This record gives sequence, C-alpha cells and structure tokens, in this order.
Amino acid sequence: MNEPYDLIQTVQLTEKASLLSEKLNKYVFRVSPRANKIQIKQAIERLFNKKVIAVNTCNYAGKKKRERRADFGRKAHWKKAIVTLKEGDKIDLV
Amino acid sequence: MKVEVENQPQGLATLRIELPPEDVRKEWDAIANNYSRYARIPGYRAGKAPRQVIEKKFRKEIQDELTKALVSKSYHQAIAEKQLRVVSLSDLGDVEFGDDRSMRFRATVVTAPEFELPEYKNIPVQLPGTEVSEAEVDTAVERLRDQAADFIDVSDRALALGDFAVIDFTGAIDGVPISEIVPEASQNLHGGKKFWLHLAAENFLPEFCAQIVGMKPGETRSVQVPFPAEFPVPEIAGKKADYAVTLNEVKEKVLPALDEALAAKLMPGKTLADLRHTIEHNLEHEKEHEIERAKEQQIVKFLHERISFDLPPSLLKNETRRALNELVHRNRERGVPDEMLKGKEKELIEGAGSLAAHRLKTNFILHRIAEREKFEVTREELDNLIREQAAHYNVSVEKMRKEYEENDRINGLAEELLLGKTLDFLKANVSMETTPEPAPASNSPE
Repeated sequence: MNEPYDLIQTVQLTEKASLLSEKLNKYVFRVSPRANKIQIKQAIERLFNKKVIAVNTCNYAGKKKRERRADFGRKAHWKKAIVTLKEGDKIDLV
Repeated sequence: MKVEVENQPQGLATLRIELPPEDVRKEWDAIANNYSRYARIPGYRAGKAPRQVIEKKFRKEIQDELTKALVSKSYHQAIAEKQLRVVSLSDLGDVEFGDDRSMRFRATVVTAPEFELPEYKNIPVQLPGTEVSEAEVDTAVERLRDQAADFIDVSDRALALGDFAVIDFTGAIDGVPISEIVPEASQNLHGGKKFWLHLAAENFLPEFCAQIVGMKPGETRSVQVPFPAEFPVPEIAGKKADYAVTLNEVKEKVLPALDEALAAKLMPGKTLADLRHTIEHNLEHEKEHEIERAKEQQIVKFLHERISFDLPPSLLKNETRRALNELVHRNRERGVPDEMLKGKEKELIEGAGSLAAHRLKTNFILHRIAEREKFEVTREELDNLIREQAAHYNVSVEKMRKEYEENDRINGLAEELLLGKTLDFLKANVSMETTPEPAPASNSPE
C-alpha cells in the first residue's frame, strides 16, 4: 500500500491550485489519508522525477450525506497535499 | 500558404494545402479565447480556467471550428493563387493539425476542361429572310377561317366522306366488349357516346369511316374493323372487331365567307385589310424569333463542331439527373401517365444524357468566351433581372430576392445572365448569309 500510485490519488485542478502552481511553484494533490509527508515527497519525486522542497498537508473530513433520514453516511475523509518543487522544476498536470 | 496541385483523370484535381502555423495560431487563439470566456469547468469559475485546461478539454471542438473557419477561406485563396478553373468542389478532407499548429488538408475539385477556343467572332450563319409573302398570309387567313367554321346539321342526305358524324358506338371481339379485353386502352377503342368523327379515308380505326358512309341519322350498323398485326395495343392486334354504330347526327363543316363580317368577328372593329395587316405583322415577328433561334442554334453548333473535350463525369452525372427530372416533369405535365414513362425509362435516360452533355459543353464554351471577353455581371443587371422576375410572378422585389438567396440561386441567376450576355455578343458578331430557304434544322437534342 505504500506504492506511489496508491499514495497519490489524484491531482487537484482548481482555480486555487492553478494559481499556486503558477505563482509559487506549488502543486496540489489529493493523497491517501494514511500517507505522511515523507512518503508523499518520495512518491512525487519518483512519479514526476522532480525535486520536492516541502510538503504541506491538511486533512479534510468527508461530508455528511443524508437522504431524508436521521442516520447519515458520509463521504470518505481525505487528505490534501501541497507540494513545493525546487525552483525551475515544473509539472504539466493538464 | 503552400499549395500542391495534383491533376487526376476525369477532370479532377487534388489540392494539398498547408497553412503556416502563424495563420492557424491566430485563429486558434481567437476561438480558444471565446471558449475560455464561457466554458464551465469544475473547480473553476466561468472564465477563470487557464488556457491549457480549456484547450485540453475542448481540443476537438476548437479544431472543428478552426477547420470550418480556415478551410473554405484558404481553399478559395488557393484556387485564386493557382488560377484554377474550378467548377465544383467534390471533396474536402484529411484535415490534420501538426504539433507546431500548422494545418494541412486536401481538397478534391472538379476543374473545367482545357480546350482551345476557335475564332468565335463572325461565325457564319445562314438565316432565312424575314419577308412575309402573300401566300403565307393567305394560308394564315385560311387557317383562321377554318377555325371559325360552323357545323350545320344535314338532314336531307346520307352520310358522305368529308362530313362529321356524331355517333354512339361500342366495340367487341368475339362477343366480348373491348372495354373488358383491354380496360386500360384508349376510351375511343372501347366505344363512345356522342362521338364526333370526321369522315376521311384514313381517319380513326382501320376501314371504319368507309363502312359508315351512306348511313342515315338514327340508323344502326355493324362495322368490322380488322386491327393490323402491328397495332400498338398487343391484346387486339391482328384481331377483327365488331363495332355497333348508331348514327345520331350528320354535320357539315361550313367555312365562313372571307369578308368584312369575318374580320369584325375575329377582331372587333377591324376591317379585312387590318386583319391581313395584323397577321402579316405577327408572322414577321414570328420569323424574327425564328431567326434568333436559328442563329443561336447555328452558333452553338459551330462551336460544338470545332471544340471537343471530355466532360467531367461527376458533373455530367449531376446534370443528367437534373435533365431527367425536367424531362419527366415536362412529360407529366403533358399528361403522360407514369407507367408509360417507366416503359420508356431507357430512352428518357439516354435523352437526358445527351441533353446534359450538350448543355454542359455549351456552358463551358460560353464561360470561356465570357472569360476571354472579360464579361461580368454587375449588381444592377442582377437587380434588374430580379425586378423583372418579381414583376413576372407578381411578388415584391424584396420577396423575390429573398427567395433566390434562400435557395442559393443568386449565383445561378448571375451565371444565366453571363451566358446570355455572351450569347448576345456572339449573335451580334456573326457573318450573315441570308438564304431564301429556311435554315437547315440544327441537330439540337431538344
């Protein structure tokens, strides 16, 4: 379960993420909540072959979802990772 | 823009057109900008998504629009650049986009056939004179007299040749009515009531008239008609039919006297001299028309004989289809039943084929002459024609124009004008040879 493709789930393509990558060379990924920063760093470096300077993460609780009933279920909890690359390194995510 | 022309057999040519990246990029950017302004992409507010995302997501749509915008434009440019005489576009395809945003595509066009124009000024034509002879006027007057004839009842004598008989008759072969043997054949074979028959030796059915001569009104006679073996209705050809004929009335045709009264009847308030004068005038007019037609035919024939080239088959096919439609339509209007048309399908198609070939060839030649003489159709001329047409069909000019534009027929109209102009030019520049005899009939396929 520690393979890079298991840890890095998808890339976050949003206005905010585009802005970050453009201005600050930071890239936003959705990662497995179990992944730690070191694993993320290694995974990104292996996947894209770029040098990672820093990884910031934050956990998000999955949204509650209910359909007219008191007992709700919820979307999975998830983790966002903001990866800062070495200056000059770029990832083409589009 | 790079254009390669590859000539192919059957009047086709393939153009390979390559557009430089700069041109394409400009158009591409314009289209992509348009998309990025309105596209809704999850994660972005409308109009905020970066260009790469837009281009990735809408690549196909952008390329389609680009193709639409650039292909027709560059195609026309390429034709103008290579000075091709293109008649129609048969195929557009193989649009490719290079990585550097260059664009390539292939257009297959039908080109006008190449041929040398002979000397087309002073084409010799033989035309009949326009003078109207006294005899011709007399014939016309006789015809008018014939048309104004009266039919009077004859009761004091029996039916004779030259009379008109009003008869009831029914036909049968071996006791079976013809209407049952061949129900789909002409009514006149079956029989009829109050049927007017002009008694002349060869008129109507074989030996029919000769056998009813001498009948009196009210009399009934049995007439034997031997249908010849080559009779057009096969069911009764070669058979003998019995017709029961009852004579109702005997009529005699009486021509009115050629006098002032007749003139006044035909043209109220006019004298006999006026009548003759009008007839002469009309005949002259008719002859002038005929001369114009003969001139046209001879010019076209002259050109056809001196020019030969292969017509592009695809065009010929289209034109043949159109000609066939016309022929069928015209025949239908004339009341020819569909079954008969089906029976003559082969002849019709052949006729349409030669008609189409003739038309196409004439068009090509006239076009080339118009090109050589630098004839052009001006906006005013087109407007005038549309105005005339509008007056003819009794609709407003705007409506007429709109109709033409909607059906995409403005170009056709302009072409018609151009060809008409060319023909007028040729007609004005012929070397005349007036002959006393009428001009030999041209072998026009119509």
